[in-house]
Order: sequence, then C-alpha cells, then structure tokens
Amino acid sequence: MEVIWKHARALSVGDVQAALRDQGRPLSDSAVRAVLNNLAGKGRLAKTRQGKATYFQATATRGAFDAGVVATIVGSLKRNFGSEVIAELVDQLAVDEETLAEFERRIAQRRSELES
Amino acid sequence: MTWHEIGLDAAYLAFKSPFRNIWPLAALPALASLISDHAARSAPRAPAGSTPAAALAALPGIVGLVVILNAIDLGKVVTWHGVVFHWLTPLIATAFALHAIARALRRQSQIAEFFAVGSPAQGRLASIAAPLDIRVREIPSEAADCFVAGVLRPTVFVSRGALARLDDAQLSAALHHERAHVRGRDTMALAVLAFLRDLAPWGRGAALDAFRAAREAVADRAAVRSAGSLNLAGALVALARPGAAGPAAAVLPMARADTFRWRMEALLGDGGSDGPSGGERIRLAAGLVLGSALLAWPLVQFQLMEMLCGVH
Repeated sequence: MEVIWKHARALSVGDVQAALRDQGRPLSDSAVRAVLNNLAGKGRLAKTRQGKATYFQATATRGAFDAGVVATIVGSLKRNFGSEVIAELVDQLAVDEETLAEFERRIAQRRSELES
Repeated sequence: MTWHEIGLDAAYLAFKSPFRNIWPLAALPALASLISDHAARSAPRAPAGSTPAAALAALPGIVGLVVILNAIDLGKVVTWHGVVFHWLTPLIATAFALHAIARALRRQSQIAEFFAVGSPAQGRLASIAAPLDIRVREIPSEAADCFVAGVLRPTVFVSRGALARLDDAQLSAALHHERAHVRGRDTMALAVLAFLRDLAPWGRGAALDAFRAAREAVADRAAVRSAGSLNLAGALVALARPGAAGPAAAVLPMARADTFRWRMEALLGDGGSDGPSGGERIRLAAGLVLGSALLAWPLVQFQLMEMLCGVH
C-alpha cells in the first residue's frame, strides 16, 4: 500500500516489484501479484486491465484510509466495551446546539467581565 | 419426604455439595454490584470522590475474584462421574476469569492500534505540548478526539479534527487537562477497574462512572490552575459539538457528553462542592462496609458446612 500511495497512479505488478527492489526488499513476481490480488479482494485496491497487463490503484487516499482505521478502532471499542458508551450516546442527544450556544454566551460574558 | 428433609437437602446442595461454589460465582458479585451501584450515587463529582468511587468500583470485582478462587477447588476425583461432579464448578470459575483476561487483552490490543495509526506531534501541537513534558501523538481523524490511552506509557492523542476546532489557548488547556490524567496514572487505574468490572459484570457500573467523573474533576482543576477556566470551558464546548464522536470506554477522553453539563457548570459557576455531605458520607461508608463483608463469604460458608456436617 505504501508503494501504491507513494506513486499516486495505477501500477503494474512489475512497477511494484521494481519499487520494492529499490527499497531493498526484492520479492518474486508471484509473491507481489498474490499480495496485490489479496488487497484488491479486500477492496483496498482497484484492479484494471489494459491489454495483457493488470494495473492496481488505491481505492482511498492514505489520509482516508487512516481515518477509516481510526473510526473502525473507536467503533469496535464502543461496541465491545462499556455500558458507559450507551450512556454517552444517550447524553450526546442531550447536548444540543442550544445548550452549547448558551455556554458559549456565558464564556464570552465572563471574558468581557474579566477584561473590563 | 417432609418439608424439613427438603430444606436439609436444599441446604446440603447450596452449602456442602460439590456444587456449593457455583451459585456464589454469580450471586455474590451481583449483590456486591447492587450495593456498589447504590452507594456510588452518593459519590461526589469532585476530587474527593476519587478514592471512595474507586473502592466501590473495585469491590464487586474483588468479591468476584474471591469467589472464583474459592471455586477453583478440584476436590477428590476417583471416577469419571467424579470429574464432572468435582470439576464443573472450577471450570465455570476459570471461564469467568479467562473471559475477563481475554477482554482486558483485547481492549489493550485495540488501544495499541491507536499507537500504530498515530504519528508523533508536529507543528502547532508539538510546540504547545513541548513544555508540558508529555507524549503526544496526532491521529488522522476528522472527528474531534482528544484523549489519553496506554497503560504503561500513557500518551495523549489529538485528532486533526480537534486541532482544527481548538485555538492555541484552548489546545493548551486541553493538553494540561490530559497531562493531569497522565500524571495521575488514570489509565492504569481505569484498566485495573475495567478488569475487575469484567469479573463482576452485573449492575450499571455506576461506581466506575463516578470514578471517571471524579478524575475528570481532578484533571479540570489542574488545567484551570495552569491554563484558565475559560480556555478549558471553550475547549470542552468545541469538542462537544455534534460530530465530535468521543472515543470509547477504554480511553480517557477530554469531553464526554454525559459529564459535559456539570463540568461546564463547575468551570463557569462557583466551582462546585468539594466533598460529600454528612448523609452521603454515611451512605458511602455503609456501601463499602456491606460490600467488604461479602469478602468473608468463604469463612461463612465454611462455618455453615461445619454446622451441616453434623446434620446431614
């Protein structure tokens, strides 16, 4: 994925193999192909054919991928651990925009009192 | 069969048979949880509430641990019939303990993933965090998250979404708040209490909530001393806006919606009360005494067995 993100264009198996070789990680053609197909199977890479060659491109940017990982971890923690999370969700509905605006108004008021 | 004989048989099954330790595995921690939940209502949302809330939160789990250890008694096994007869209770007790250990490990492995996706603080975050002497990592998320995670190396995690919402003064206040959690080793305490809670997963876990609330109060006070109450209040409002999905129970987030209102009132009002009232003290003490009394169950059971030995 690092190689694919770095190039920001569709790469063939040979391109990825060459990039890995340049990084000092020589891998066989079949090993690289297997990993790329595996990532395509998981939806991480989009696979396109141009003639006989197969090209692979990332389906999400590095940032979007990392954000997705964070969201997955947080979601998993919420699902698996703690009845407190239920309380949190219920209470989140209680912290409405009106309440937040009211607190913001009080903060501004206190600031102006301190400044005057 | 008379009622007297039925009563004696029931007493034998409950207090003397090889199954005598099965029912306490659930019943005693559940009773301790009930006592803990009830008493925790009196724990103040102030620094003074930390210790009693922690003790109440730990109590059901410690009772659970005592009954589990009491139940891991393999007894005499001579026949296959005896294996089932004598080992069923220890197996169930071991399953309780393994369940809690597995959940604790899973929780920590998921928290470790935050370390994997987070990158060392740079730019504005690094310069504001530098004088505070804390480990800070930035996580690539647009949600407004700011929390501490990690038991042995507690680290502050700040999301890009939070950085975008907080100005420098608010970010500094938020980091001072998190530093108080780091210095108080709150993540360590939370991990231990969460493990004990998994040993006795009954009731609402109100004492654990009370403990977290008290620690938030401690961290808020520390941040107010260093960065000012209005900056911290501003940071809380910025992080509590819709879309700012806070992290889950296994980490210590800056802004939890269920504690938001009273924290804001404490910051903008008179600072709130410091300790429990007389009545609250009595309820807290009664809860701790009653809950602790359950720790004596193995002794009580032994006495009952001695009594029944002569009868049945």
